[in-house]
Amino acid sequence: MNTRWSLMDLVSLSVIGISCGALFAGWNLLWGALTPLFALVLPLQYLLLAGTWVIAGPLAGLIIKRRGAALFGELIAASVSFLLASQWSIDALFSGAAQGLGAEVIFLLFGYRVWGWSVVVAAGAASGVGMALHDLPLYFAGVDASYAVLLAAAMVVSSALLGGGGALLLHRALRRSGALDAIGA
Amino acid sequence: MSSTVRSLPEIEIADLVWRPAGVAAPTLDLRGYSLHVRGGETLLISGASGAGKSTLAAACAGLLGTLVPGELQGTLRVGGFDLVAAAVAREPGPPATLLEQIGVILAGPAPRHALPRLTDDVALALESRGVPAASIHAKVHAAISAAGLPERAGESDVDRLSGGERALAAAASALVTDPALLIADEPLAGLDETRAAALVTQIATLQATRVLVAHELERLSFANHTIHLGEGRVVPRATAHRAEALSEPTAPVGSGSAKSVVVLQLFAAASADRPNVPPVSITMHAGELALLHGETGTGKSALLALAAGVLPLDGGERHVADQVVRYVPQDPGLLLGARSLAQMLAPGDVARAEAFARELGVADLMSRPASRCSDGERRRLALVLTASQGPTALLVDEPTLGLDDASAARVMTLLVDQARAGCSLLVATHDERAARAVPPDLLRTVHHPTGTSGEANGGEPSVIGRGVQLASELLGPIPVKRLIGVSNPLTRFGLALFWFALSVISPATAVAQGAIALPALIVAWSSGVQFLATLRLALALAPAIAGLVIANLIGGSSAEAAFGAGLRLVAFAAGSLVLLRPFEPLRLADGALQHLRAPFAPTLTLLASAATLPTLMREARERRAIRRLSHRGSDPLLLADLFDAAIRAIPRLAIALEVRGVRLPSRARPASTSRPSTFGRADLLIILLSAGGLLVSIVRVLIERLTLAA
Repeated sequence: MNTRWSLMDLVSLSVIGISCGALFAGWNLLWGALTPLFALVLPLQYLLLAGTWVIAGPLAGLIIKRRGAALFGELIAASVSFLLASQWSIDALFSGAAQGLGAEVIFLLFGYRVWGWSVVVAAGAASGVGMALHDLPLYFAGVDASYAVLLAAAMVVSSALLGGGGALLLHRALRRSGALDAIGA
Repeated sequence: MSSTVRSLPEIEIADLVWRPAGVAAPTLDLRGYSLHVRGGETLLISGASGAGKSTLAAACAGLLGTLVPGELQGTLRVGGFDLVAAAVAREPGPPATLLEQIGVILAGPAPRHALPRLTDDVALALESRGVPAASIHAKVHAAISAAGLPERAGESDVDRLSGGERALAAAASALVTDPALLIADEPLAGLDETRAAALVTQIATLQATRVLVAHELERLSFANHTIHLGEGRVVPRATAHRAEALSEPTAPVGSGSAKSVVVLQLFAAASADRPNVPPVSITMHAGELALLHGETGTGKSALLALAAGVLPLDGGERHVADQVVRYVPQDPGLLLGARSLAQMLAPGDVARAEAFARELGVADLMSRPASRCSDGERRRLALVLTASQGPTALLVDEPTLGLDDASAARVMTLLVDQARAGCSLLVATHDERAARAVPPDLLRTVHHPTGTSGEANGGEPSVIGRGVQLASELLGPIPVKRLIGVSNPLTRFGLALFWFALSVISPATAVAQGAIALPALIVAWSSGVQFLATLRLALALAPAIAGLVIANLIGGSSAEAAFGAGLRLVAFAAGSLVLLRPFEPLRLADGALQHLRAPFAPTLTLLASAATLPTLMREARERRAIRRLSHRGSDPLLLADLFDAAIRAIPRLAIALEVRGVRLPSRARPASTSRPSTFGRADLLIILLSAGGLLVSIVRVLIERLTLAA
């Protein structure tokens, strides 16, 4: 059952990915505006803001509950973010791939059967690990080890809380409003 | 022209029960009732709103239990297919061979199209059935004019058409395939007399089995079978249900002086959001009920929205003293969203609301979320909400749309009572029941002249078209650039990939990254990227680069490494410019939509979903504007509103795509190989980019490992 994608699932994936992508595009602008302010304490900016970019993966996985939903949800969102407005341009896609893969791995480890809050937060954290693995070598190659660890920790914590937690909150709100019944979630 | 008479599908229904997911009790319970519709006959489904008419129609299309989640029991055979077995087997959609014979007109006023442009949307059904490309164009235009739409409507976006034109568009996309089974859910809703009569003739003369959901029993008297539903069950139809209260004034006339008090005035008001509607003027007086008549597409809804203040005024004037203005749009979902009525009421209005709800027969629906109610129920709930807030000016768009006679009578009685109490009402409607229900002392008839139909504007070019036009004006490659510019997309793709890989693998020093960024920028510039785009890019990157450099320096990098990181951003941006010129993604998407060839592609779904996003944002903005009028129920975050609207758009889009025959390829029915997909390149691009991204991330980690070990 977890492998058969119906048209409803496909449209769900597209719409969730695209909506999250629009969110990401707006968040890119916010990030860009705040970077000069936080430049002296960049890990703090990552802690406060970075988690939003990983919401798409856990959210798509949580709503659609199919193999590959998290990965492709994040990829679609990253594509839209790139196409609309991203200072990282094409790298947004690579970043999204790394983050989506992180979430997908966690869901895979639980066999796509367990969807409790701890799994979703873990998926968010794993996306953060993906973000760290991608961003650090590219943009912070020469920094001290301690700074790098600080950045990585900020990314992982922010992704777990904002990303995983945010996905949970959104899912709960959607379930309460009855929107998810119509799509069989 | 086929000379063989094709066999038309038969429908067998017996003891059908349907319970949607997330609901405790079945919404359709036809136990003990059986029906056999032979090929070529017509089944008419009527009943009060919320009785399950649309549900039964959807069941005949094979959508219940398969695409729409829930439990289906009983017997349902359409065209020889056992649909209950399909539902039990949890198949992903209706049987493919059945879908090929079906044409479905979904119920409005919510959007029911799959692709943004009308010709694309109508053509999609033909594409999916493998009609040869050469004949598609002719058939599409024939269907559009047969439906009664003007020629220029074909090139415009479906959601820019008026409510009535959208109804005709839905009919066109269902009838273009010459279906053997037509399932039409309220096909005449929102149409004026002439168009409605024309559509009825078209439907009646079809060589097909028909399943029609409607209230207008007199017009559709040619039906062979009629089933009347009430609360999900079959109920006998109450004959002679012409509520006598319709034509008698129920209370003495209000004082004459109240009539002359002006409540709201519009002078030559126009909005840039509705460019085809000319400037409109209207005056509303207290204690009067003005009925706004006009042909389909004349801009009545625009007039109401302007008067309500929901549409921004870009020309003309609007005068409203401190009045309490309330607006009920044609799509009541815009007002209520997913909330229940109880959640949206202010404490002081609850008593009045309950009284009104009892009058309209929706008292037990006050705490049900609006998304679970049928369209007719939502319409009445929206009226209860706005009326209970004690408005002095009430603007209602099609109050009786899709309601049966009894409910329509109750709604009109409520509106008449509001007018007697001194409120000023402006009601846009096609329905003659509404006109008959208003006593002459309160009635004022306004004819709306021209609007979307009358304008010989030629239609506005799409945003994409205008953007491309602007870009081509700015981009004028001089001969020198032509020498070193690269225009072949595959070459550009290869080059961009090469630069990305090089940037990633190279050390993060300013020299290295700069050495990569510079040629990329040169090629990008000579390939057609203009000064404006480069400037915009520089502005966008400057704060990002500055922040990155500073952070790196603080983190202990050498200056060289810090600037290297910043320049890497430039290298990536330059590479992206080489890969995709400005507006190119939009042009690719537009081109893909224009040249659909594959019966299915993930990209088609993606593009269709992307096309709904601007509509959703517009809807969200409209909804906030409408809710702001009521001062209650405004969400703290536009985000929550947008997500909710997006998720609720999913079943609409999925069903719209499904009934146009867009299928997932399976082993049983592989995608056609005779017509190669011309947007395979977009597919390939997305796949390669994602695979590339994964690969690059892995490769980089490995390279770091190796360089550390070395």
